[in-house]
Amino acid sequence: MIEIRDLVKYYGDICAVDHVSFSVEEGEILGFLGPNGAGKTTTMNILTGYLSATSGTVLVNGHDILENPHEAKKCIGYLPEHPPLYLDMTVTEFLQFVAELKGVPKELRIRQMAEIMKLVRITDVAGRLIKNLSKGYRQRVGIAQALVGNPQVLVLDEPTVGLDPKQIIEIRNLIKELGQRHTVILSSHILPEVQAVCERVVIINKGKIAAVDTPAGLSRKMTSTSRLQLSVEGPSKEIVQKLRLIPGIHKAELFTEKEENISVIEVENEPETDVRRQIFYEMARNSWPIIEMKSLDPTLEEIFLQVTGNYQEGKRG
Amino acid sequence: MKRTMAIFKREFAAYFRAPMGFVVCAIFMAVSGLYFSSGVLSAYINLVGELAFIQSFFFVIIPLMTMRVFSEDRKNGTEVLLYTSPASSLEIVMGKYLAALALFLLMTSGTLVHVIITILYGGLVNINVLGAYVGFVFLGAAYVALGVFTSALTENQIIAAIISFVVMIVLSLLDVVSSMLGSVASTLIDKVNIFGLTDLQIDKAGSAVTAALNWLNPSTRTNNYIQGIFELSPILFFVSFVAVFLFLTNRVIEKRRWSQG
Repeated sequence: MIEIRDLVKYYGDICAVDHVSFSVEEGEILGFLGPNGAGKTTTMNILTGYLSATSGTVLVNGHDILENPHEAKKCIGYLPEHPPLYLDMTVTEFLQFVAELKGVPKELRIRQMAEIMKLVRITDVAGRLIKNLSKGYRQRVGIAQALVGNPQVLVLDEPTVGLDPKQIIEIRNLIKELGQRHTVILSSHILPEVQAVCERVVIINKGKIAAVDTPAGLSRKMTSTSRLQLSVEGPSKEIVQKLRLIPGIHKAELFTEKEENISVIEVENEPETDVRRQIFYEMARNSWPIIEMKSLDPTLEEIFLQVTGNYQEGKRG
Repeated sequence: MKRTMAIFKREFAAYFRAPMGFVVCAIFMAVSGLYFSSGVLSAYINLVGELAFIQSFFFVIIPLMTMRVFSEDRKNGTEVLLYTSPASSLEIVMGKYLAALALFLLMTSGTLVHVIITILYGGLVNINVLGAYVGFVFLGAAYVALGVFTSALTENQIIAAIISFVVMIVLSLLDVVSSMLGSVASTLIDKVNIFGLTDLQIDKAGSAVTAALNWLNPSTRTNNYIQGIFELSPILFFVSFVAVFLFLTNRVIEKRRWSQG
């Protein structure tokens, strides 16, 4: 659907995007993750044909964005970081204008606009001037604008920035819904968002791609061992000693001691072994009740820091 | 073409969503109405003179009309919508130019009321008036193109207005300045006469400079129309003037998206 090959963009001497390549499959929701200033917006601007790249190619549905911009742009709906809205128009007028601009045939326009407004839930503000709308509604009008013309690809640049928590959840659900019918590229610096919505993640840092994988795959890759956290009632020292004897566990440490007589212990075991049952029987034999046991998968947050941190070290070396 | 129409419609309507369209029309009508009514009071109606009078206010009216054309989009980020849409940048430039031109024509058509009143009361409306209108519209169309170009240069509307304001003032002063620059040129040539030119040749060189500057000056191009002489060359001049500035506007926009700076 979208292929980005060896994209490079310089702003003067500053390299904003440095040999970035990735592809997006049809129907996929791709998360584009990176800290502020990592080159996300620049990549998206190039991808949508707003800026030119210094070198490299972008193919949208087989059309090169530079060679054949007309066809390529028809396939893309773009919501930039600041939604491009004409504040002096009403929602209906604005969407009507966008439909004309994108060349939606007249007989389709009214039906399509009604559908979009229903989908992003702005039907009740259709007649209001955009300048009088709240930030959340403006964001939705921005998404509606991207949806006009039913493009195959939606590019959303930080769609939830500046919204309140309720609106964020609504927009996320909306994106998931859109993902059923469109290919979506979603940029964000908020990790749980990407984790909640995306099927695949591209992590970019300082203009370079740091990792590409599924959220689950990333967590697997990042940990050669798996970790468990236990809360057990009983004498902490003895519990730790007993745990260390269980085959497969190569590390057990007292994490903290909370409440009376309850120790929180972190256990690391060999990869692809499951020691939870042995732990249970061992504790049961000693009559130390397990209050809580959970596996500590690394969060995307940890992975993110690890990936971007590793990169920095690598660069220094 | 459809996309040009879409942009044209939006841009033209935008003039009347904000006060600017009304303000510019009001200034235009006030200036023309003032001239006309003073003519009525003195029982001497001069429609050709009225158009010339309005023309001397172009340097205020036209920058006010055109300053927002590109700079507003750039400032508000709405240009992203336009440039990532399937519309080509030439279609965008054309749509925006035609919208500004349409506002200019709308204002101009307001003065037709004066023509009708003059006809109704048996005043003089001859071929010179028609010629003056043709010249007026072409000159206006050229200055609108100039204004659109300056608007593409900056995201600040005030700066866009000031640039086109200054350029238009310089153009309107070119009449006076050209003969001065001609004599400056001949003096310079006299001082550094390395080719051993005669005085007559030096004078000729000076007047050639003056003539060239006058040739470039859009405001002197309409003089013959006011006499009722319809020539083709001024029309070609104005059409080329518009084409050059729209082309440059298009280049400026493309350049900004392509630049690596």
